[in-house]
Amino acid sequence: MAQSEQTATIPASAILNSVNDLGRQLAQSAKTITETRDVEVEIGTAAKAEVWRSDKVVLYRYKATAERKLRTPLLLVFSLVGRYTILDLQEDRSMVRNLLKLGIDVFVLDWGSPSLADRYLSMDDYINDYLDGAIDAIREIDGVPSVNLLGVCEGGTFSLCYAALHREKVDNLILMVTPVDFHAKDPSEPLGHGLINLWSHNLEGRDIDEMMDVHGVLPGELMGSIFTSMNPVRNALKYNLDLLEVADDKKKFLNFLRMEKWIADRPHHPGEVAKQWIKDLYQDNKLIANELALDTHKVKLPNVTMPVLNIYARDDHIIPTAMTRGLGKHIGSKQYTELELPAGHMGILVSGKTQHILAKGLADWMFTQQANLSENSASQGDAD
Amino acid sequence: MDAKTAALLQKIVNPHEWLAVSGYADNAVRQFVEGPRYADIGQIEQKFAALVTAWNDLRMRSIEQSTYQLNAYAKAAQEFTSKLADAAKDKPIASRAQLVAMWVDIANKHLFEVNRMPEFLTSQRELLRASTAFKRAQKGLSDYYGELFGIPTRGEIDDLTKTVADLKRQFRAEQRRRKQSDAKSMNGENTHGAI
Repeated sequence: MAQSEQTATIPASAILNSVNDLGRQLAQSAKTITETRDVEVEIGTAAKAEVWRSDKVVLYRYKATAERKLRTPLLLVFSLVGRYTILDLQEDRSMVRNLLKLGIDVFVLDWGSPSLADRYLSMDDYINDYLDGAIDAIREIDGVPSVNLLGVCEGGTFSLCYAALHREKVDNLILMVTPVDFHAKDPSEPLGHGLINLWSHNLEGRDIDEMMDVHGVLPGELMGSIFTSMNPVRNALKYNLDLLEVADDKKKFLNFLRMEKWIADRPHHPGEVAKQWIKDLYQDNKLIANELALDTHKVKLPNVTMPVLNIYARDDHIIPTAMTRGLGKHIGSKQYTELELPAGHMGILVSGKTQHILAKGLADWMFTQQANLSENSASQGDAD
Repeated sequence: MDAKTAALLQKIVNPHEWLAVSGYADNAVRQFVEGPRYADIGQIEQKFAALVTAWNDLRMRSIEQSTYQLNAYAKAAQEFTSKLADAAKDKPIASRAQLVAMWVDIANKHLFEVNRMPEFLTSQRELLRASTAFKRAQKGLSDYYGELFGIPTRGEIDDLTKTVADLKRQFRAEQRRRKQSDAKSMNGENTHGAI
């Protein structure tokens, strides 16, 4: 009886139309899937040239597409967890291309694909050696004393550490979806947010040491499965329902495949870095306490005195906003700005909604800093 | 009922026993692994047994995790069915997307709730430990055969990797020192102090 009442609420014609639509969609999807070739799925294709290299780490400079309007070049530093190619996923979803169009000279650091041979590389190697080497290379190539530094996620944490240790080489610091206070928690945050914190706090330091001892690296596949578990049902539906929604439209299908290509390219995390990242930061929250040591150097956040722009994603389930916001009170800079964007952790870079807000927001802020600097220099000159 | 039958019945109805991978053989293998070791016999057999035990532990922990998740899915399915019935009474679901979104919300909620349960967290930690122990047991066996066939073991390669990493670090530091020194010279600074 209950069954007949339920079906009676949906008219038979609607059911028939729906079945017909589904049939058409399935036929078109099958055609698109069989006709598409992997060579069509390209990511990170904005023109660029290698300008510096150290071991597996490569620095690229993007080819300008507009007249340069900002004196100071911008260096993009991505996380070790994924690849920098998401910064230029495709022509119409590319922070890099949008910045180039606005007259910014853009460099990007590619960490490469760490393997077991890199298991002993530490955060000190990545920050004080590779990142510093790349910044010196830009200073030399461009003849500038310092750069604008933009770090994303873990790359943001690395950039923050770098700015604290080498402030003379950083004009302006931009952080994007960057974990800073690893223990910060907002009681109102959704149930599915912050599961990496939960996972890391559930382990003891010795679990991490033993895991890295036997694996040598934090496997990319493990990180992948952790990210999948953060949105389990959506991910379980990805290759059936989601695919069905996009596969009847070639453009949408290629967008889907480009994201798949980026997700599949998930590098291993060098073991020593993973130990520091999980134990010193996630478990012991040393950065915010000014206790994080990179070799013999302690990272002191009050040394971050340059202007800072902190961009966070409103719906970030990987780095909840509480972890990234509130940096202002810990650093020495008096020019601290926060910018909230309506997206998730990586959606901030690839969502259609944020494409122009993000690059424009970044460029406007950097132009303002440049203007402030010129104004200060002029008034300094007048005073002299 | 005699004591043996009672014990058997207890085992049959104990869910923990259902998760055991090789049943009653597990304990015998474990006893062999954890038992005393002798200098000249059973070395390789013990390594194989250690691997089997570690594999069994890993499988058991993995099944345990899946069980928590299945329970969450079962609860989600129950709630979904009931909400679907309510929706049919009040306002029918208008599209497939709406139906999927409803399922995703409900199922995610139950899975996230499970993810935060202390029992689940304990099981998750034990799964990771079991995975590490399995990898270590694998390493024990591969090291044994590596030595037997004259192939470098993982430990030996790690030692070399560490040496190379340290040397490269020194090399990069030296390169940078030289570069800074050259830059100072080019700027006309006397890098040799007072001569």
